[in-house]
Amino acid sequence: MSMQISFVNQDTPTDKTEKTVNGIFRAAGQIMFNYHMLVLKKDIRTVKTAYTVTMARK
Amino acid sequence: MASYTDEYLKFLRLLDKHKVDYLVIGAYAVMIHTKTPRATKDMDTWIRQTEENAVKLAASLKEFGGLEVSEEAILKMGQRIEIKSEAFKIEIWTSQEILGFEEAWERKLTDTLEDFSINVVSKEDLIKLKKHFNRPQDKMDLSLLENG
Repeated sequence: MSMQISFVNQDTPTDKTEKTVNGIFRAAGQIMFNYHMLVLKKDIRTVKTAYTVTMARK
Repeated sequence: MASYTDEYLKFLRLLDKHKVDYLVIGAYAVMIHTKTPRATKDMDTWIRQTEENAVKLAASLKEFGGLEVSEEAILKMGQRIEIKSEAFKIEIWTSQEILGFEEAWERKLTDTLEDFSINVVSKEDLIKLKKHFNRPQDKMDLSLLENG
């Protein structure tokens, strides 16, 4: 996996929006992964967990 | 193939291995303190600004992704170091405007992930940081942190 490193001014705001459908689904998956890893202390890939992504109209 | 989440774990594991003094801040800290699922696009960390720690961080970054970074570059104040690929982003803060690292370090929470330890900013300090930034997402986080 290729990575880039950059140094930015700390006052530069971070972009917090997902711009693509792929990004939205990836973020949804990450929410569940993180919740399992950080709170439940389990790797979501080793437990059978289903989740639904509901997309609302703007 | 490794996923982006594996990269976050790998990064934290390397910080632990190289004994880097760092704190997890941002959304990951919110999740740990509130036990609530939370969306985020990146993982934020905050490092102690000393030469010794910069050397350790540089070694971690080299092992993490072959990233060559000088200690001088790391020690520059008021910057954010961003490491990103197509799928993930890690932000390393070198200072915080309203809070000193040493005082935050004194109050830190130590948690465990898999087989290693992570250092997390205290709930009290996370609330201070969220109040300082005060963006829409910070306000939502504050609601969880202060009422949870």
